[in-house]
Amino acid sequence: MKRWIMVVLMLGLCVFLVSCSGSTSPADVVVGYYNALVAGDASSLSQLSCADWEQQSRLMLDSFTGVKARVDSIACSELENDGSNAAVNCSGKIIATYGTEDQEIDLSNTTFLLQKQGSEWLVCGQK
Amino acid sequence: MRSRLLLIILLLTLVLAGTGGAPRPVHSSTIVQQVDDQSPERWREWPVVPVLSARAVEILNTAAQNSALDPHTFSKIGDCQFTPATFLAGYVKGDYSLPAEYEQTAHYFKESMVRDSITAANGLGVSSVLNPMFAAGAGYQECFKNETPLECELRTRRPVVVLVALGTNWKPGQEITFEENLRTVVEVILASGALPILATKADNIEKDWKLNLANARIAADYDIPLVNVWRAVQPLPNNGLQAPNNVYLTANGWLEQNRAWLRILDEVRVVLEP
Repeated sequence: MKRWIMVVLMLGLCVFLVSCSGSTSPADVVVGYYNALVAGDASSLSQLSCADWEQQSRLMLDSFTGVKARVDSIACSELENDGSNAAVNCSGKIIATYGTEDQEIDLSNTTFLLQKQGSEWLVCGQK
Repeated sequence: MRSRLLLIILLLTLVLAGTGGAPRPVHSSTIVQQVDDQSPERWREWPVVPVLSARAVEILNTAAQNSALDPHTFSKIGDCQFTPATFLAGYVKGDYSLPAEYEQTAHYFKESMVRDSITAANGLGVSSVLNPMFAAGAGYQECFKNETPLECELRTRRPVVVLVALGTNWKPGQEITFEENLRTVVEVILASGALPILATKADNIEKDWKLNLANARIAADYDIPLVNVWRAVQPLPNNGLQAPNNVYLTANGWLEQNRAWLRILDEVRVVLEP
């Protein structure tokens, strides 16, 4: 019985530490950004963007209006990270389907710039 | 008493004559009518092919002297209905009959008529041409990494004229961003030295014609030409649209659209090649 209590307490501690250990990594933020983009999820996209980048995020969201899009084989990594600013590039692609025709958008051409605001990493630019 | 009655009858006759069916001078109302006809709200009454304004001619004359631009080149911005499969290429390839009076124009612009544009492809909308992901990311090797399809098209093709037909790929709530983004597109084109030519669209997917109004408003604001494709296809069955969706043009709709654009290109060619 004591052992079970210990296990439950340890699990609770782990959950607490993970939830308080800081924000999602810059790479994870960009994965979430791409997923929101193809899902047409304006709310999530806005939450993952700096205030100055929200308009561009909206434009990017609108740009997929005419197609059905999905993210395929995405893997993102940090090119730079000084604790306040980060640059993230991803491999993989967005497959944009129009009718029966697929168009592949190579994600490696896009590098997102992120800033840490409070405890959150946000997409603030592109290079 | 009798004279009073006669006076009343006379006055009534005069009043009725003043409001009756007698012809009235039309000068003032005609002037008002002319002014109103130019207002964007009355885009349905705008001609299918406008006469180029003095400003448009000035832009073309300046573009013709600009060594950074190719006077024989136009670019296209639009969706699948603006690709060579359905748009203009048929005049060069012999798929459509080319009226004799436009042979010179088809010859003048023949390379642009058969060539793909980076900014005209399936599913593209006004936001897509401003999103760099649809340039290099979409496989256009000639585009820089962070360049938009529009910037890449203008840099690599160096057009003097850019034909813009946007609005069909749209979803509810995008009216404001559509107009904002289209203004951006127009300003980028003007900054390159080229003349943008806008168009109305035949469909009404937005239900209240807001996008055609936006096209007309921008054309009026910038004093640039607008080809009224909507008006060109009105005489056709189902107004030139494929039933039941009523989004894309029928084959005859494509022909009418092509004819309208060919006519404006003819006006452009006359300015460029006096």
